[in-house]
Amino acid sequence: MRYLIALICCVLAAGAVAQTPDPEAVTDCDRLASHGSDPERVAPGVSQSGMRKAAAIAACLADTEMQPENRRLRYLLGRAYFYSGRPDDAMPHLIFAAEAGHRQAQFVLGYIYDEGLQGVEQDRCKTEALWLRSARQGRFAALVSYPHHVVRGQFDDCELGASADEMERFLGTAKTMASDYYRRMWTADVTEDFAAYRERTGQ
Amino acid sequence: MNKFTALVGLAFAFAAHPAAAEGDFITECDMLVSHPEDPDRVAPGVDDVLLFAGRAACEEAVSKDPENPRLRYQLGRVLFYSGDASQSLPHLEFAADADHEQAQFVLGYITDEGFQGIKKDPCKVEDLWVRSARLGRFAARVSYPRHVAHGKFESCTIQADADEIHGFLTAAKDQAAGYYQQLLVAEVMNTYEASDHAK
Repeated sequence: MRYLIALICCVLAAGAVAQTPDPEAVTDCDRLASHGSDPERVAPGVSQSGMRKAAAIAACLADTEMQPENRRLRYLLGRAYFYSGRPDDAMPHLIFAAEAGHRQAQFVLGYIYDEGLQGVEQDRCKTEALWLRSARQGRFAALVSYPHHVVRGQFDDCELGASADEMERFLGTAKTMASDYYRRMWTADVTEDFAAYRERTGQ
Repeated sequence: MNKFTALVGLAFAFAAHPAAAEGDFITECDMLVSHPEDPDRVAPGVDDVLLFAGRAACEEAVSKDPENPRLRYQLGRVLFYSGDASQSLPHLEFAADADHEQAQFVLGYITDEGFQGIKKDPCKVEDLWVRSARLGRFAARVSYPRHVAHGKFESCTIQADADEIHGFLTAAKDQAAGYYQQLLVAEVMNTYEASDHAK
């Protein structure tokens, strides 16, 4: 009888574990919608043109239904919607992921606000805040784009969250991360511009 | 008999176009050593070249087709990656002289940086990159104006005038693939516009 009770307990416990998905497990959503430069991706990246968008949306909807708090999957659903020209569907997921600390979502959402893509209202101060958080988490694009925009006065209407010293550190980190010829050149040029900016503004 | 005649006919047809057959033939060298950004490549590019196998394949391919600039560039590429600059350079030079735009850009880059002890020569870089840019290589269309703006060709005759450099950058803007390349082109455009050469 004791064995029977123990067995029933084991089965129930195993059932409870099986119903809690592993947030790091590779899902169909990951396979269909991952971004090649996302530091948190768990599957190979898929380009915008290479993405099977309807299939990606279906897979990511199913996966986020199972794991609504998973920031990586929420970002991927937002990505698939945005590439499908559905910004109204995309934005809540991108915002959720960014607020949950997903550095790629922070960078991408900042980029969307910066450019005012797909009719999203341009808001450079949102960009400033998002890119700062992304840069502090080490996302290469944000590490360079943030000081790039400061030098060009594109955050002039916003309260800057980073000091000049912090931005210089961003660029120093980016230099060690630049993985190809073009990224090295871009980082070098922004670093040079930033040094001139510091001299010009006395910061 | 009809099938035999057709086969013989096909064989003669191929033999009548040896250049096309040789030039477009995908070799083991192409499979193992092609550069992903080489506009003249005929196989998917590889980032991590298998040095030993790539060298053997390219030496064989070049021995059969020594005038082929693509194969000569690829042999030069694998030799350079193997740390054998002195053997690599004649192949890169041959390909660059034969207007292989990727070889022109790469040879310029090597000469610009002085990799593997190669003597730096800004005027050689200027000549190689302007030719590569004129043939359409994105990297040269960005790097050439950037070097002009930074005064790195000051001791040389700068062959491209401001209009032509504008044209390089405008074309590069259309060619830019992805966020970083787009921002880089925009950055170089700003830098060039502010330079003495543009005024």
